[in-house]
Amino acid sequence: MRLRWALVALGLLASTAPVVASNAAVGLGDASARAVTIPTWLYLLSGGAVVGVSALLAGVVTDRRLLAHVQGWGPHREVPAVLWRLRPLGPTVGLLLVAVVIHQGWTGPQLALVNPAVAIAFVGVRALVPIVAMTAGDVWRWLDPVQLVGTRGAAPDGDRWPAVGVYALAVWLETTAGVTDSPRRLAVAVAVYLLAGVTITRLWGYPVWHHRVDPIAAVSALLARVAPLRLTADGLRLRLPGVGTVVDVPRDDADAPLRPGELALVLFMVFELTFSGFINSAPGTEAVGVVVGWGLPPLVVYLGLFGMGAMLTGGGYAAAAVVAHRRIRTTYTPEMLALVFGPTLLAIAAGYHLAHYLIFAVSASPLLVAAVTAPLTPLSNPVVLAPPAWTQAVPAVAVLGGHVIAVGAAHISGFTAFPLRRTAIAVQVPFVAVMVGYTMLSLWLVTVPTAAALFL
Amino acid sequence: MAEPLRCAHCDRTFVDAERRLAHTALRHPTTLDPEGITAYRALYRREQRRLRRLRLELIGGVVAVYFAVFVLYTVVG
Repeated sequence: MRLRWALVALGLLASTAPVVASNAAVGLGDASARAVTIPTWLYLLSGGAVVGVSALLAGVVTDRRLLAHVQGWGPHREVPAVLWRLRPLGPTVGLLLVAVVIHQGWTGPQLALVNPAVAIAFVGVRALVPIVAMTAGDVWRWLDPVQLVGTRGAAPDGDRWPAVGVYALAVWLETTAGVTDSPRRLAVAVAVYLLAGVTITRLWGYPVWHHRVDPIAAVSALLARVAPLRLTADGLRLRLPGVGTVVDVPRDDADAPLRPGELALVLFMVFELTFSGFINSAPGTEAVGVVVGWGLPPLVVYLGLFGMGAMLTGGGYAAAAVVAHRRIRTTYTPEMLALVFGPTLLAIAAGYHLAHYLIFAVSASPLLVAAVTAPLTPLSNPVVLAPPAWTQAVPAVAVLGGHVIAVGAAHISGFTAFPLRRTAIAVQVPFVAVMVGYTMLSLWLVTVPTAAALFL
Repeated sequence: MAEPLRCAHCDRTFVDAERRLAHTALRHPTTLDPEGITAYRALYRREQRRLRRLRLELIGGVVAVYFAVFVLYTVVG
């Protein structure tokens, strides 16, 4: 046992060393006596190596009891009963915030930085709801205002495919329809969203809206599986981040931890952040500019990128599942393998979200505070915090951390799903290979300079 | 492919008896008879021998990756 821990420690040391060195590439090495300029390819390779090494080391740990211990670790606390009594206030708070967004968005100043609607929608919901969900648990279940017109209940039959569609539409509108710049358009979008929620709840019941259609609820519920904190009726439990994505012991050959639509949603979460990262980067705008120069309308170019990127993300993962299926002898189908390892992608999605939104959420938090404390007045003196220099390491650390956690979770999932240990290790290899590739792509995106997307 | 073997206690199926035995030992350990226990011990030991080799290869891989990255940094820096 002690040997294993020593190996794990050695591995951590080995895998962090390249990161420390590669930080020099993003300007943190200035303090050292001899600054080393590192080419981007080496920086990316080092990042990929971190994920690869963490997978190699995870493969060494084959003791099921140790893995169960890792999975079950964490203290448990009772929560004060007052928390449950406060619970009914959540949807009312949510409704007030939505009302502010619609009212202020429509009537307030049409300038994004001073309009409270934009601060609440983009700092509060877009950036912070997923961040709170991935750290403290499913926050949207508490805030969702639509539950005021319906009753909560068990998840209905059927998948989250509608949520995938609504999510894709929302991301597309965010990219192309200028809801970030025009508070009035934002107000219309939020009103349509609320109206859709109320209509669906009235027609088919709240569970259909919450468990099948609402993309915010889906993102919040799925990311909550990564959260180190878990609030249940028994109290609050602390656990290692990501262990909540590990599969339960399967009951039969079709007992998947995710439904296909949920897997599509998780893959879309990963893709969506890559897409917005790409089109808002200098190489991205350059590439789009070149293609537009050939005479294609910009919207078609963006739609093509959107579609192709989504296909590539899904296709890469599907290919990993097919290859994994060929590598092992199992009665599972490739689809089932994709679903077994699907939840581990949530750690990656969480890492990407932090990489893209954490600094933004922190630096724009005064806007949100001002918007919430004085919702009816435009922000007369908008304050944005300037992040200190070291925070530029946050995106890379978040991307790498998400992937490393995902590798660990995939390892434990493999051991839960397969009785033979060598199968459990062999099945992970294609998934890890895809993860290494995706790590390098995402690291590249967070290191290139950002640029406002053109033609939108 | 041959007809999959079904676990006697749950609905999972397996491609061969070895995998079914490992599953039964891990998930339904109280149902194993003494012969099953002996067979599983033998299987476990066989697997352990293979894993020992695999573990060395994995550690070798870690060292190789670290070494390669180190060399690259030396060459580039």
